[in-house]
Amino acid sequence: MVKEPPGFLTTSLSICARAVGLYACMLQAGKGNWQEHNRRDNTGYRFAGGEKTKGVSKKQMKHAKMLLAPLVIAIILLFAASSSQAQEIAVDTAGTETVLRITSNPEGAEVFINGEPYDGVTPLTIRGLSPGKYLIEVAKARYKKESRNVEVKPGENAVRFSLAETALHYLWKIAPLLVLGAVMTLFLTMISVFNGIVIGIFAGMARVVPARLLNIIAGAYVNFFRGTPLLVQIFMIHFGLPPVLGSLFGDGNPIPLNPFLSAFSALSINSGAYVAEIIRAGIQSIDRGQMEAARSLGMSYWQAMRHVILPQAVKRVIPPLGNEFIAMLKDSSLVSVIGMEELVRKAQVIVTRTYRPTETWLGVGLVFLMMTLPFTKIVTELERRLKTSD
Amino acid sequence: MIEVVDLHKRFNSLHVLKGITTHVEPGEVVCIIGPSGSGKSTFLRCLNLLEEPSAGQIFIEGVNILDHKNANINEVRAEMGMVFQRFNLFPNMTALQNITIGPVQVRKLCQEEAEERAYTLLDKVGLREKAHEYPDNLSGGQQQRVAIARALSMHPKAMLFDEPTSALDPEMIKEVLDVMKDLAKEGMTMVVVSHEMGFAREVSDRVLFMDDGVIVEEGPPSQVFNHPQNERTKSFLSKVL
Ligand SMILES: Nc1ncnc2c1ncn2[C@@H]1O[C@H](COP(=O)(O)OP(=O)(O)O)[C@@H](O)[C@H]1O
Ligand SMILES: [Mg+2]
Repeated sequence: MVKEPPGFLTTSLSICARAVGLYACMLQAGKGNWQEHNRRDNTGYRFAGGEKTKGVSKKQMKHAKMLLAPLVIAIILLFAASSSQAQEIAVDTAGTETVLRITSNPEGAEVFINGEPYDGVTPLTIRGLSPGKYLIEVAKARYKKESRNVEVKPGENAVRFSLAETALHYLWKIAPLLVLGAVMTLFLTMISVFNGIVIGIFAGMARVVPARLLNIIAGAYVNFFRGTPLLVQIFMIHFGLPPVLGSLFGDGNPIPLNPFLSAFSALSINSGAYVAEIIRAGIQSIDRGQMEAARSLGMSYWQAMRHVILPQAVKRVIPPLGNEFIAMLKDSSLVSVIGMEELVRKAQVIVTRTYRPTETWLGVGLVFLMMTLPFTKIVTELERRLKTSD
Repeated sequence: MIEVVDLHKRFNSLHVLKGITTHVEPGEVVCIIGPSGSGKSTFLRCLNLLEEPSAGQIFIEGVNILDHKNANINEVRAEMGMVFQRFNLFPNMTALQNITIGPVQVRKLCQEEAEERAYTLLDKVGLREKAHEYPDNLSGGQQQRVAIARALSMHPKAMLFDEPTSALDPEMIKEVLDVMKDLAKEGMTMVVVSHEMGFAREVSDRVLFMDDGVIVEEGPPSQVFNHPQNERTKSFLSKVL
């Protein structure tokens, strides 16, 4: 692109010629740019085009006003002599001018041409480059640097860069969305585990009380919901239930369930089964002698349960309930498949828009970790205290 | 006061009690001795229906407690104080609460009265100053004394002791036996399963020797210990004395 350095005598002459040419170019360019600006505006083209030309004309035409022409010529002469860039400026002998437009999304990126910083930020129009190969780089804070080899041909050339945010900046930008999803996940989990505890206390007690029928019913419930995948349970409720509801309560057409309702029901019922097992284990972990001592005082089964067994069982049940909460926090992500807008669903939506799965899913993982870690710590602490008090 | 007629107990195919017939008079102290696994605990537990007998009859003050029409199972148990080998105090309650829970919940006593009586019982077992301690902070001997006070809190007609000292360190056995001796002197009806031959010899009115689910020999301690009639009794005593 850069011509061989000419001999000393010819240099000043050729520089003069180029400077005059450049000046003429600028005048022309000014007109052309304005026309282009108007055209683009009229067709509703992105306004960025207009802004770009305005930027260009400001930067390069400022000193080219006719009244200041001689001064400008002198300045350009000096500039051209000292700057290597001036050497790249060439007038096409055939009269068509070489123009390189560099745009980027977002705008305002610094431009480097063959590693040299170029004055100005995108959008940028560079005129008078000699045709050839150039390495063009654009850089902007918080965005990844982009570089491209461009073959500049006589006439109009356009390079468009689409800058990607750095991973950190991207995560920062999607963080509010992830937090929103996390809040939903947390809410979903808390409600479900709360319901699960209510269901589980009844089901768990029903497994241990001396009543055969209750034992069997509760056992079937617990085994079914612990022995089948949560995903299948979600499908059974969300897709399996509507036709049944329709034929029972409607005109025979399926009654669709909203994802919220399906998600809450599925997670609550599932959690209930696990909590029931925790409650059962908690009750049965209490030494048999406790029940016998209480009964030997003449207490009824329920009095013994209420005053002796359950108060002791509650302590032992709390750490595993904490673990159930953590497990549910993670498993609740499955309801994303029926369109419940929790953290994972939110992330899927984000990825389809940004095409950045790596950072997005890493971010989702980190958000889950930030939610589970405090609870894991609490459970560990509770378990430690329980051990020392036993 | 307690009358047992041809009592049988089976755990599925395991025949543990094979026809026990005996009686306990009011104020009598009966000691049951015998090898491990002979059914002593099972027999005692049948007396307050912690185990349901498979066959036979148990009369307490003339009432057949196996006849559910006449006898409320909870009332039967409330009338029989039971002391366990492993104390079985309620660890979620203080010593005082362990002693008041029965009267308050079962006898529907008000809390103040129950506590007043609980303090009297704690005095009796020498543990008033431990009233507000939790069982975990008491020694084995202290726990067992609280357990005795707890059983007494229901004003039972009889007290059942299932090896009350065999989970205790030797230096704590005496404090528990002393409490039991005091009870015997006061005229409490007691059935005691024990390996404490000294206690049996000194305190009991009658000794039952059980083996393999039957009462092999019974009689006053002097007779059973000094002149055992049965070969099995002789061989057992020769091992433990
Ligand atoms: N709940 C039970 N289920 C099955 N077998 C039992 C049960 N309780 C006691 N047994 C059996 O009954 C027998 C007598 O036990 P136990 O009355 O505790 O004897 P002891 O108190 O004289 O040592 C033992 O063989 C024991 O294994
Ligand atoms: Mg025993």
